[in-house]
Amino acid sequence: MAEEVSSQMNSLSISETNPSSSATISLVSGDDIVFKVEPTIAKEMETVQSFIDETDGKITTIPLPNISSHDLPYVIEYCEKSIAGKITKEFEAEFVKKLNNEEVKELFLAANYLNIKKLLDFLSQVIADRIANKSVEYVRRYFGIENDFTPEEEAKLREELAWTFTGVDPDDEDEN
Amino acid sequence: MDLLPPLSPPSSVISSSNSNAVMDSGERNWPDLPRDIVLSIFVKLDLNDLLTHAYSVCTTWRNISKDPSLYRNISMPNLCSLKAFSDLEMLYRRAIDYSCGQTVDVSIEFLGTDDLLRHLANSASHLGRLRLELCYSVTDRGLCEVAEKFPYLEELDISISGLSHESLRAIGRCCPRLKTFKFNFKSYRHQGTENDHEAFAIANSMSGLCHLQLIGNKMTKDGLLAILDRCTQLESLDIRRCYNIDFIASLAKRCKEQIKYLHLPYDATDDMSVVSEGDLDRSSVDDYEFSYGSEISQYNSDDNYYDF
Repeated sequence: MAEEVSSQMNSLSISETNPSSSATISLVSGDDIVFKVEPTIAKEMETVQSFIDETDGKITTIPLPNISSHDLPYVIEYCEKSIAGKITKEFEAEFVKKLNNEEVKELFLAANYLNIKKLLDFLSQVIADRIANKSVEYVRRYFGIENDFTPEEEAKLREELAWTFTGVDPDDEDEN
Repeated sequence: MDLLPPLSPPSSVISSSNSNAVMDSGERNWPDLPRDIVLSIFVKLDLNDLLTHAYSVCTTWRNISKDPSLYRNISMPNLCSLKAFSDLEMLYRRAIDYSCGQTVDVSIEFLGTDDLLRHLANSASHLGRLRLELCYSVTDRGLCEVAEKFPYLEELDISISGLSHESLRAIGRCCPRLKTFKFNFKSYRHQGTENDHEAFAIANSMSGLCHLQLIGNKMTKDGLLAILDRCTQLESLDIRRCYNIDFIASLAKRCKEQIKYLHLPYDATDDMSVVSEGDLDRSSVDDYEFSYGSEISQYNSDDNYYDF
């Protein structure tokens, strides 16, 4: 028993200090593109890591059907910066500048699916910033949410909060 | 390596069983996002966006926008130019109601009234921090009436108000945990305005204070001495713009010995916009309470700087 534990610990320390090419993790996007990443990147993605752990590290090819090959590189880039300790305000500003609204939403869902806490936290702030002080109609369009209030509820709401439907920022044209 | 069947998404993730759904982003069903994920966005919205826009989007969002966890800190600054006071007060009331007594930190600017304070007192019994800035409509009577409902208050910031020593005594009596107290005015530098009532009220009823800020107070050296005598745990003391204090050498020495972080009457108040705003750029200084920046800056001493 003691021997088993120690040999396990040895193999762990070897794989951590000396990641051979076979230890690389293959992430397969929903459109079947394979992305090879270091195991440290996988560690940032809790969903992936717990999957690897469950199979004792024997399985290193992970299908991610909910994430497209368009979005996965962004996720990997963020994770790489994160483990390098290089998530700065400047990096985040540049990172988000590249993303349109739809991509922000897709990445948010990807971060949620992969359970990457830092990315999730960052993107929820980005989304909050993008819908802050916007009209209700804009927020509905942004999230693709249908107005499910009854006409009576809607009328009551307009009466209650009449002043909130004015004084908001103009809607962004960037909806794609 | 074997290719496994697709990972089944964790329970907190919306399911999208075929890869086409991934590519067709328009099909994502945002209203079905798990509650905690929507909350992670909502918690980053300000109170106005939360209580008006998010609240009005759909039934699900309305329910989520009422989550008590979103209202532990209630603060709504910089909206006075946009909204009528009555509308803002309604937002505060709703935020207080939704908090279900979980509010620990409330900050009110401009629109505070006795009624709003009473509403807060009746719903937020665990309040630890309260800030009232420019709330002229809060009266001594109103504050004295509710002080006993805030037994857990540790920090109270009242900047520019119509309140007097009567409120201070009630707070001192009812809030035994109070560690930080700020009671600021613009300034009084004219003869005949000396008044130690507030300083004595603090000295007599708030002996447990660690941090005290009394910018622009009318107290004299007697008031300051009373505070130094009774509030023996004070670590920081800010008496900027207290121009009535006759700072004889022995008093200055005592302050420096007893207080770790000290701001003296003629130190600059650039960091305190609430008291210094309008000082220099007013072409006609028609309010006699305003003082002049040039006289302050010459006594500025950076080594005494501290931050609450």
